Amino acid sequence: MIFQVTAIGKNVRALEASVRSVLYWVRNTPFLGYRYLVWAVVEPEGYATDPTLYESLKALGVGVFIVPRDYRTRLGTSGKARALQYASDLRSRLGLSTSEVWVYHQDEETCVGQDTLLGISEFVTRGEKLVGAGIILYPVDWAPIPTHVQEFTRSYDDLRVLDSLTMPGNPTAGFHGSHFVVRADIEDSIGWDVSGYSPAEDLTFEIRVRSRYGPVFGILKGFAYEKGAFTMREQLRQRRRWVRGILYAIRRSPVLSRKRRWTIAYSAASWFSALPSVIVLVASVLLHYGPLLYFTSFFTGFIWISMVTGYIVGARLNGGYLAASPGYLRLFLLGLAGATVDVVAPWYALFTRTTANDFVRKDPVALPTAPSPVATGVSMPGVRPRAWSPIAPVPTAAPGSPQSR
Amino acid sequence: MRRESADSTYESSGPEAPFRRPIPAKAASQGRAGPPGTSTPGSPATPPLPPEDPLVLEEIDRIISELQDRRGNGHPTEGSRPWSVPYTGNGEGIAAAPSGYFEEHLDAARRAVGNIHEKVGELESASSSLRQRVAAAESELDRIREEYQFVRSREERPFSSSFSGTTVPPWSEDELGPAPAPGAPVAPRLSSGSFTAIRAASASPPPPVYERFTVHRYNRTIESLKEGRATLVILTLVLSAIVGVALVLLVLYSPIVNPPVWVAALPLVWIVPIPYFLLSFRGTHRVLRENHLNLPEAK
Repeated sequence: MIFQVTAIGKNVRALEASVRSVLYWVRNTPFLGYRYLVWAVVEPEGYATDPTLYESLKALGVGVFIVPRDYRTRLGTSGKARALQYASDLRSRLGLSTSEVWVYHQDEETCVGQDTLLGISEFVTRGEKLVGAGIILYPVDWAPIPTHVQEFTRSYDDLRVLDSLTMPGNPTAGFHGSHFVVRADIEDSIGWDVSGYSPAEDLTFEIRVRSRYGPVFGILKGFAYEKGAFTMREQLRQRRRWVRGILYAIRRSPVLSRKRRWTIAYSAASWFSALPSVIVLVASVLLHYGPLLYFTSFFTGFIWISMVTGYIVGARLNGGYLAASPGYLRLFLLGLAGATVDVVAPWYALFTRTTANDFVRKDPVALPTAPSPVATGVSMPGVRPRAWSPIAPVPTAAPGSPQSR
Repeated sequence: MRRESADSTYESSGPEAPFRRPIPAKAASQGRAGPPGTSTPGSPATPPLPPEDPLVLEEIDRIISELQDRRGNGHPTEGSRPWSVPYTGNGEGIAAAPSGYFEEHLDAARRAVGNIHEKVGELESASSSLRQRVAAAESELDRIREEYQFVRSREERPFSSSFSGTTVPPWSEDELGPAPAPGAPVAPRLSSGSFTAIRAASASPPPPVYERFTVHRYNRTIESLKEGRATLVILTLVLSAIVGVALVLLVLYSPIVNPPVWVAALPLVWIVPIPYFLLSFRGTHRVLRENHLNLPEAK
């Protein structure tokens, strides 16, 4: 089992915590059905951020691999896909692209727990599926800010993702860029190389695997533990990357079947409809016009309630790892603020450009003045939404979001 | 030695410490003291002579005087009472004038006591650390034993894979360079009760957040989620109906306008995500219903 953290590497503290979480729990979890390696695949600028830290990780036995600046893939991809392809090539050179080697993918802020390792162990020991993905919680550095409250809905939405992922055709288009395990030979046979920059390399990868191997996706038990963005602006950029990734997959994935292409397009359309829905709702109230509600009223209510459910169930999921709950009223207000970004995000993505150097900060810049109710709280303003809805003034979970991170 | 004993007596004498020194029996019987350093004051084999013996006391005074002359000077004699001067019992002549080195010696004594205290503290700390290491090592040994048994059982029952029949991992540490060593200084074990106590006893920084991510907590979270699933379904549907009815009533009791057709068609955008939400709702509850998401709890 290779625990592979693939990232730019500038969020050194987050990356260190991720790596140490692996090292800690592999030593504290008996009965794991695998041997392990820990790899950190980073860009040169990430390594340059704190070479001492990376060297200390090496001393712990972590394989720190710096993607050479002059490394070029066959198709010339860039961004995270380039680093992933480099790791894939590395495995091939080391003879690790076999059916007995599995790769667990982590972002730089993806901490694992005892449950994660046991879930992986069960998955690879059973060996029934080639790719497994699980639920991600967001308790690390949690703070009562809109962006972090909005992440609750992502945890709840992961249930939808898991169902969709394990269904033929992935009808609601979901996949993770982290917290998934894949057999090394399968990953390396697919590769991450695409033509140019792929904003959502994980979605592209899922499409390719499904195209070649069929429905080989399974549910990975155990949570992964991540953290949300600290500001609404960074969240907006993150969502923009997702949207651009979806659009990229729709337009430039040759292996995408027509049916699957329509499925993804519909998911994207659902997300895009959030902002118009809100606008039309407001206009309807102002114009005293809403006869369509005769026909859609139940579904409109259903959508609203579903979005609220996302916050509540997500809060319950994450709440077990938080020392204190923000309370329902505060949760509602923070979620309202956080949802706004998700409503705007797809349209924002249409009119702005994302680059391979987009960087979402995950290392807190300031320590909390008082102990956070959770783990190590971060007293920073921020928002991080993901929502949308047809009629909902308060969108919640970005439908169609590939959940790429 | 004899002289030093006398000096220390000077310095520490007081009303509660009667100015009496035991006299070697041999020296007393011979009418003189033996050479310095050869006598054995306080020896149980030589019971002291009566201190009133003037010859003995004079001999002591003489020896002291000679030793002072040999050293040249500097022995604190001011205020000290010669051995030959009888003790009056009223406090005078006992230690009325303390030694000029009294404070110096007292400071030295304090420093010595402080050093001893410090050393004792270090010993305690070292002992505590050692106990902790032993406890951790014992715990590691227990786990190694369990792991060993587990690995042995795995060897007899190799991985089952529907995609491959290979069972032996194809790499080795030699090929890959240093693997995380068992003794690598990673964060310490949390699950060990002894270690938890150790951590609590030390003023170390708070443990990393990931140490709380246990399988027990995971199972508890999953159980809570699954237990509330039916309620969640019912509540979602009931509340959806209530909100829907409220919206219909809102339309019924609002003044209706007749907008242009293109404006009237705009609310169609509300319909777009309905299938998506229905599928999501169904999928979410299907995952919870059909999958046993719990994990076996490790010791």
